[in-house]
Amino acid sequence: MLTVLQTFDIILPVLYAANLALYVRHFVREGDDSDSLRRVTVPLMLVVHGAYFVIRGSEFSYFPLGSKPEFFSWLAYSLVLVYAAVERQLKQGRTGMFFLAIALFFQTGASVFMEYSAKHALLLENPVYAIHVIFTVLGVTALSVGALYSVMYAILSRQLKKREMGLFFKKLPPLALLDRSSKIGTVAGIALLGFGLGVGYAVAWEVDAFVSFGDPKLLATNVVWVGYVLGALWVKFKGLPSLKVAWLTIFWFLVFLGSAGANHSFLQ
Amino acid sequence: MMSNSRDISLFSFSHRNTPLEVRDRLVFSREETDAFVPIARGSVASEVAVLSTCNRTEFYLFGAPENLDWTSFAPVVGQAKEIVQGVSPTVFRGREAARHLFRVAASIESLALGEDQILAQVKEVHRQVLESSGKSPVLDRLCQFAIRAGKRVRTETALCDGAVSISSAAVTLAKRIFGDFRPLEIALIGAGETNESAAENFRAAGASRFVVVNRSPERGQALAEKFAGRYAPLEDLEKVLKTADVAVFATGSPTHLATRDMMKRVMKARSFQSIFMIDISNPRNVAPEVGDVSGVFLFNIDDLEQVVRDNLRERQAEIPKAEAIIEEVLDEWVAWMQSMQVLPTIGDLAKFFEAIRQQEIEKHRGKLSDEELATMEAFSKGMVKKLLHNPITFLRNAADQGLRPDDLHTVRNLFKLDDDQ
Repeated sequence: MLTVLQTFDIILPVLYAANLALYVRHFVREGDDSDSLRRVTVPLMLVVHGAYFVIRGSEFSYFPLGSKPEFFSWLAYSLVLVYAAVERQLKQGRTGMFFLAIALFFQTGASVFMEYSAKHALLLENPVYAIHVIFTVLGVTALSVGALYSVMYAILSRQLKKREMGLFFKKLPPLALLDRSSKIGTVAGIALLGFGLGVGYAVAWEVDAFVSFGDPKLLATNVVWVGYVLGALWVKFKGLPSLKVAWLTIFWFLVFLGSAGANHSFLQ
Repeated sequence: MMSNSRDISLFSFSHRNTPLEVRDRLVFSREETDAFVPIARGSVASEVAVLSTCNRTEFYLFGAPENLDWTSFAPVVGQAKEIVQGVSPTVFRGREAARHLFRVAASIESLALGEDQILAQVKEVHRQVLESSGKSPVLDRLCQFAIRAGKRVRTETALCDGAVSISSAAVTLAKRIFGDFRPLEIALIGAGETNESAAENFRAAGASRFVVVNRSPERGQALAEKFAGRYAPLEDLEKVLKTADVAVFATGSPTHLATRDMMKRVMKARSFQSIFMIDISNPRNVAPEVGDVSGVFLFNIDDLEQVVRDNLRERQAEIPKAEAIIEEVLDEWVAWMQSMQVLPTIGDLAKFFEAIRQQEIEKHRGKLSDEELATMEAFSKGMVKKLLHNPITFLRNAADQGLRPDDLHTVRNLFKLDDDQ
């Protein structure tokens, strides 16, 4: 089984690279008609990657999120999963190369440094904890998708205001679509992360762990999440220019990254 | 006796060689083309196709008499259209004729470089060729090659990218903001020709909701009716801007109709939803400071002209790439035409050998049993096949590598194929 896992660790970066190549081609070439091909290759890659997690989990008998390489692999997987959902919703693949490039970076790092031992925290054997982790990672990924779309919105908006009709002006999707993508990513992120945090409290209660709301990691995550919720409500009911929404999304995501970085990782 | 040409002939009237009033008289409608082609086919005993647009009328012929010139062909055209004396077409033959059609399909020959309509017009010629009575295999193939050249140029180069008129540049910019025009409300401030042209472009891009704001209700209502929109008086401009997604200003007003303060109120009322404002008036109708308001994308005529200039420059820079593609397709066309030249000889050769084979079989028919005859049939067929293999391979290869007419004559003379015909 170890050989199978090692083979997967070679195949996965190759699959991410192949899909990235398709998205780059779609971004660069006018009239590229690889949509139907990507509709097969992206889900195929996700299925293969999903199978990898299942095999790894059954081989070592824990939810495979016990090490940094495993965490990176999850990030790559969830990033493409969330992006694919947004692409399906908006029917445009022009931005895919940005997300696939980041996912390829994470997956390559994961594959290179992957360890093959059954050493893990006992908590990772708890299925409810696994749900907490899955939703938290998906939530963070969706927020990052929203932030990345906000960056694209800010770039294109600036180019339009300054009459710079450069590469991004020609190749990026329309502003309205970037705005919608950013909002979809952010709202999905708020919902997924909120659910993940809720399940996290349930796990803590189930395993009878002491949870302190003064814990800096927990405090920071909760504050950031509440900030996102308040921001989304403000935009929904009071309105805000899209460019300001984009900057706010980027700023708040950076705050989130900063707080997460300060606490090393979600697992600690 | 005048022999028929094995090449394409083309008589071309276009904006390059013919005044507009003459071109107008030569325009063929679809019905006129459908009526003219059979007459022309009968008159010159060849395949005929007509490409007729507002900027060109061209007659493509294959298999016409060798020395057919415009003087001889003009009376044929004269049966359908009035021929203006003293105006002659440019004549292309063979490879040059094919190259010209490919350039036309790629829109290199168009008055507006890189325009899109011409490819559809070449497809219309193809339809005409396919639907006309009598077969036109060569012109059918020529159209297919031309369409292929046109498509390749459009997909592999940026020759047709970017808008090249003020109105279409406005539409292009609006597309970068909204993408889909179907749900958008387009406000036209002013009911003159400029806004009518802008509305046409927006409608062609998918927009269907128009509001015309104008000082004079008569003209405003007329334009609104034309685009199935609604009319609003100029006093309601602020109200209209609260719901419009795109606003095109083209009035003769000497003062600013939209100011920064007004747009701040408008943006608050529309919950800061983006608005695209195009000011193509002179003097300007929109105060320049409006462009600083968050969510407002303001472009004036200078910005749009700059877009048009940049796009035209970019299109011109793509011509060498487009020409390289055309030369590739042209080489494929020439190879196909050469293979067409050898096909009749290959067919004649096969018929000649088959005739001899059957003659010899007939000589023995009474002397052999059915079983022996069947063996003889199989034997002779195999032998003919083997004997023909090398000559046919030679002809096919020669066609690919540039056949000399002498080679074909030698083969035909060797077997007296022309006598048999």
